[in-house]
Amino acid sequence: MVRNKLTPPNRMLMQLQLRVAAELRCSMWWATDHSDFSALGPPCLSTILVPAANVGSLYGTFYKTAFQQKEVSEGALDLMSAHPLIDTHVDLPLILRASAHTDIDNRSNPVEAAEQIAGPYPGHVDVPKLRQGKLGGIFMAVRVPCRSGTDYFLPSDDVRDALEQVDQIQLIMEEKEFQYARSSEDNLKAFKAGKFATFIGVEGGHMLGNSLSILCIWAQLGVRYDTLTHTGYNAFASSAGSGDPLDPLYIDGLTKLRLIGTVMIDLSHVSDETMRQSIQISKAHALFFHSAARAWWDHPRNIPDDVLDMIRSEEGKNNGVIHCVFCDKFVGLEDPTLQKVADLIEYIAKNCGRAHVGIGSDFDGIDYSVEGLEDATKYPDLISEMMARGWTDEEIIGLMGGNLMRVLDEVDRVQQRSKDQEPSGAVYDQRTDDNLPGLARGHLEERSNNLTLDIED
Amino acid sequence: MKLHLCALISLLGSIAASQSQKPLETAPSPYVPLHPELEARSREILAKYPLIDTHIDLPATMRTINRRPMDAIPKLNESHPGHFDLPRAKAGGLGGAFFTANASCPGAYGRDVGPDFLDPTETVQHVLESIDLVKNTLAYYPTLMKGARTAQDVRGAFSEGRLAVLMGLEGTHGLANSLSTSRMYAELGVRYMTLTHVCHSSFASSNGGGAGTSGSTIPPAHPGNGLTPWGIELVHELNRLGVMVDLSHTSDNTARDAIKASKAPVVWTHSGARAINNHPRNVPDDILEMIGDGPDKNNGIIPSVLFSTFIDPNNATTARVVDHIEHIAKIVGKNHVGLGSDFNGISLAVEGMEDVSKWPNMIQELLSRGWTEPEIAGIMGGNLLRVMEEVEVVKNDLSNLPPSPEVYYKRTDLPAHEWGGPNMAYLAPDVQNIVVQQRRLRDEL
Repeated sequence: MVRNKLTPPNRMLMQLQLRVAAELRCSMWWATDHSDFSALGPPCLSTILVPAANVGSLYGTFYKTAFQQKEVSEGALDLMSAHPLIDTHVDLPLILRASAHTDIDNRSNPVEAAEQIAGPYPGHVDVPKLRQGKLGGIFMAVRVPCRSGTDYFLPSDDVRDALEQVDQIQLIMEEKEFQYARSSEDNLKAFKAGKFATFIGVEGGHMLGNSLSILCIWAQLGVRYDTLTHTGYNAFASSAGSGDPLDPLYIDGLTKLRLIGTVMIDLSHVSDETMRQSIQISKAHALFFHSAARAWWDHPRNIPDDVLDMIRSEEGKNNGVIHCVFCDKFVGLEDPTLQKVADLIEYIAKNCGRAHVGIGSDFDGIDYSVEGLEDATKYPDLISEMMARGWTDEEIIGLMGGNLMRVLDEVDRVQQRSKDQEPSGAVYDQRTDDNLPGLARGHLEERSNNLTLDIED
Repeated sequence: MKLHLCALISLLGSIAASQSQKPLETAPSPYVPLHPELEARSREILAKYPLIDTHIDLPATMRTINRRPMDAIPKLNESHPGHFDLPRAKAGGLGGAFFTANASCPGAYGRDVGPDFLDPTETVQHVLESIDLVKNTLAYYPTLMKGARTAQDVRGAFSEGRLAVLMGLEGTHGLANSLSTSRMYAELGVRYMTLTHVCHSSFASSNGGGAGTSGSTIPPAHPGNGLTPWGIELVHELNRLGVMVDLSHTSDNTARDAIKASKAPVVWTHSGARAINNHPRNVPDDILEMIGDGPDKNNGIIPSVLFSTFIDPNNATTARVVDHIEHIAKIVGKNHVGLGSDFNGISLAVEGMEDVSKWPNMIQELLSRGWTEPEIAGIMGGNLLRVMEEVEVVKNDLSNLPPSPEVYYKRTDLPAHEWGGPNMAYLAPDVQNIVVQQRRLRDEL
């Protein structure tokens, strides 16, 4: 495999960016990154270096793409034509929202954004790239930054912004290349129709507005999974790096929420304790939609070994799936390459079984993917590599999405069976946003204290 | 007078009882027919045609007195405080109802959105939770209730003997300055949106003076005190979505602007006639003149309201409500009126219509005034269903239009430049480039 001659400047830039990272309460994982963390230089350095590195990386991508096209095996392309590859985590809505596209006022609007990804678009994902990469299905992530740290019950626009992103995704789905999917059946239907099966995931419990009701609403709007935390806290759980246990509200939701089958819980980003509790309490499938293994690369975002041990096809174990991320920071900064991702997949498969792995790139939600998997055109390269390593067709079909669909079917069956269970009425106990207007309460208190009733007539 | 005292005491008693954690008790006033000789006929008519109340604030009541609002659901079929519960609805012959999935104006729970309406609140959470509450209520009573979206659904539910339940959003502050949320709410089943509640929004101006106030209007927030251009965009989007535009609570200019902008019939889900009782919540004659049959008129409807203060503080009776209705009907025609109560959103309903079990009294009053059966069927629900169908036709006519791309021009959070993570670590390099360039442009502007 030919190495990109222009790699070193990219790598240096990356290191520099790491050191120049802004300090936010939200960025706990960032702060515990493997490299030395010290603030060096003013942030404006990146505005000079980014465009320069950009040129380099664009050249590099072109160079490699042109050369490597021949190396992808016919077998891989055939397999991907017959079976859909599902990427379980793509942050396309984030990119669309973060960049303006039209008009003088420089405002981004979701309607025009949805039309524009039909052609080449910045980032790792757009329709031409997806076609070239022979993607079959895609989970688009609804994501809103964690703003409030531990004050997550202060008013914010999180839920409104999340609704806007669901709207964005639905507008994308109105384009002729995409088709909404929520089940394995939908996935196949879209694939046969030649469209990208589009699922919706929500990345972070803060978009639930501290409310189980709102989780139900997401389910009604077609959301199929919720990543319980992003990099911050919320009423339900704590993020990676913290040692906090689950909130009782979440436990109540897990055990009683009738919709737990409809909205799968994604354990990427959550703290170790949250992971363990979730798996033990809910008996639901442990799903990680964009993660890696900590024994493989020591990063708080990655899954610890004892949790990996819980997932396999044995009696008493969890029948979940771990989808491997492409982000260089989680796969291994020493040598972030396609090989490493393949090694990581094999590592997880060795621990849990080949029926428990999948692909969740986190494209468009990361700055750098690994070398060899720079963007959505590169999926066939990965499949090629797995075939070269002796994975059978059946195992690769599982890796490409069969494993997840198996879980999805099971989840849907459970949901059908527990349809008559009562939904949870639990309310987050720290909420103070009463629906009783303060004015009314004051008035009523006055009246009930008043012994002589003043009646107008 | 005595009736008022009883109702007041029972209301206070139930609130006091709930606060002291005793089981909720209600003391509904017993049914007394307004025109006993017409009672049998009124019940006959109620059994034959669906009576659809265009405005009941049930979710708000359930959320107001229950820390865990869903705990109230089982009580709905026994007895629940307020003007509505299922036994009384059945006794009253109610055929269908719009429950409002509303959130209070933010000022009411101590939030200040600021002069541009931009500061964050929990409003969207409240709306979504209310919608979920309605859905769970429907799921709990599958034999007694049925969720409906179209006129056909309503008729279907009625023929099965189930209460047809629809939803409305009371106040565009609940949209949090976004057209995306209007699309999402429409998808979740909201069938009308009241352009304002008692507060202004970025879309429209309110008349302010609702229940509990002295009735004076609030100082304007927008030039012209009507719809903003952004609000006109909303009206067009609602037309495209097939969601009815509700003008109760809006300022007079908002109503005029909305009627001019709307391609579909509009509604007032709970208002009276200002000529009968001079209150800002009632509709003035010149606006009524814009509604009716005829090529230059809007074909909407004006359902009634049952709040004593709006009807007539000195004569708060069912008969007086019908005075309002007849005045309106004289201008717009009897095929452009309807029945709205605002139950659970008001303190005192008029004498004779104290709660949802009293609808026969309304029918008796209409009969006593010589309304014919078809006219009564119309005001009960036929006119509303016709309007719903016309709104559906407009939606189909507009189906080739793309969704509105408009964004509230005062928002500074779009494009979301700050969403790239620490030092833009979530963004691919070429996207970072764009963001950097745009930030530079924005700073220069």
